[in-house]
Formats: sequence, structure tokens, C-alpha cells
Amino acid sequence: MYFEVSGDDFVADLIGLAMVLVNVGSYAILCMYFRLLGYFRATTIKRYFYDDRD
Amino acid sequence: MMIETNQFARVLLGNEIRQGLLSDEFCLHYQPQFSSEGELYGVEALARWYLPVFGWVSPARFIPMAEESGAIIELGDWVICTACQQLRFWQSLGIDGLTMSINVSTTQISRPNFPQSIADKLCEYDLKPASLTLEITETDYFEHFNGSFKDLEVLRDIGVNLALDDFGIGHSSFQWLAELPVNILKLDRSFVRSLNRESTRSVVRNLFQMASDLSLKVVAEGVETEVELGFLQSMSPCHFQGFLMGRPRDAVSVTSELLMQNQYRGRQQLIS
Repeated sequence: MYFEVSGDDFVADLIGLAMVLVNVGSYAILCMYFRLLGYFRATTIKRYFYDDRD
Repeated sequence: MMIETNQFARVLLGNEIRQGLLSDEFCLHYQPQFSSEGELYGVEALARWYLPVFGWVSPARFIPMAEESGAIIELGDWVICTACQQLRFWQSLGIDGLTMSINVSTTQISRPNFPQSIADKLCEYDLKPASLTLEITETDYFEHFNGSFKDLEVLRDIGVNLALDDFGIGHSSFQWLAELPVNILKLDRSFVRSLNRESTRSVVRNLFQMASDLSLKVVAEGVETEVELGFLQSMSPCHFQGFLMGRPRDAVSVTSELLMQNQYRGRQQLIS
């Protein structure tokens, strides 16, 4: 089963590719967000609970 | 150990504490308290936190953070519940006459229903009010209560013991001391540590005299050497707490000590 796109096939491929890129990009941003959150959590815990220099 | 806390850290660490409570990362350790006859008559419940991956967190770090973030309410409630539950368990083993001391913050006491919540806990765990001691630091008393001790008086009227913790390092005046609804003074460890000085000994002697006149029980904190213990024993009646007699330990370890003392007491009664 497929959808027929009116106009040039090349444009349809481009749209498809753009959608894939947007999805992958969103996922990567989400991953980075959680990585950053984890990093800040770890550094904050270490700074306030374990760092003896304070 | 004052650390400047930003909003982000306060929210994040407050949530860590709340999450830790839900994930059973907190536990209570109990430090034994002894009478001048050497009898273990009570324990002080102390909160301990083990953060997975990071390890044990010092209470000197997480308690001020809990106060700042407001998580002290949840933490305090958890401590009261767990300590009462433990005391009930010890009583079910036949260990009677034991008192449980719990540190409470002014944030907890300032809540309008605090005396009622304590009364509810006593009912829930079927405990006598006199078996519970609530400890409030001297600094907290004077910085937050401003002469109004209504809630504390309600607690005292219920029969709960109230202790003035870290006594001697705050701003107590003799007049305040007479008005405070407390029945226990916990002598700060800084006094105990400097008992080798004659001037401190003189102050402590007078302090005991004053406590006796006001019908206050004195518990000396941080007793670590035989010399300190010897002097304080001569001040009888004095109660002690410190590394010399026993470090804070988990419930299992304290239970075995209590059971041994109970067996010994039973034998003594049989002999007499």
C-alpha cells in the first residue's frame, strides 16, 4: 500500500526525508535534554552533599 | 557549613529528598541514652540517607537542605512515623519503659495541627505520651517562637517530653528558661568537651543546680572520654549520650542490646 503524491516524486522524497530528520532531531534533542538534566543532577548533588571544600 | 543555595539546587535537592523517602533510601539509626546508673533508658532517632551511586549523605548536609526546600515536613513526618513504629515493635518484644527522642524543626512545629498529629501518632501506635521526647534546638526556640509557646504547651499537657537541644550555645536567659515548657535540657557537646577547664566545670556544676531547682532533667551529649563521664556522674542525676557509651546504630543492633539488658534485668528481679 502506498500514497500517491501529486507532482514530482523528488519533492515527495524530500518531504519524507525532512520528516525523518525532524523525528531524529527531536529524539536527539530529547536525549540531550535528559543527559544534561542527569549531568546537572549529579554535579548539584556532589556540590551540595559531598564537596568538603564548602 | 553554610552553602549558598540557588533556586534550581533547592528545587532539585528537595525533590531528591522526597524521592528518596518514596524509594526507602532513608533509614533511622538510634543512639542509646544512659542513666547515671548505667541503664539504657532511651534512644535518640537520627535520620540517615543512602543515595544510590553516591553513597551516604551527611545529615549536616541534607537536613539544612530539607529545611530550605520545605522537604523537612515530609522527612519529619517520616521520622516520627518510623520512630513510633520502632518503639511499638520494641514494646511488643517486652522492652518497656524506653523513651524515644526525635528531633523536630520549627517548620514542623509551626504547622497548626502539629500537636494533634503527634497525639494521633501516639494513638495509632498505642504509645504512652511519656515515652516520646521531642527535641528542639535552643536556637530554634529563640529565633522562631518569640515567647509564644502555645503549641509546645499543648504537647506538654498531652504528656509528651520536650527537650531543649544543644543547650548552652544559644541565647538562653534564665528568665526564658523558667518560662519554657521543657522538662529536659540537653547539654551541648561543646560544654562536655571543655570539661577539663575548671571554669567550665564550675559553670556545669551551677547549671545542674539550676536544672535541679527547675525540676529539669539533664542529658549530657557527646560524652567521649572516661574523664568527662566521671565528672558528669558526680553531678548525679545526669543522663548521658555519646560515643563512649554507644554510637548511633541501626535498629537490629540496638534491638539485640535492649533484649540483652531486658534479660539481665529479668534475672536480677528473679534473684532479688
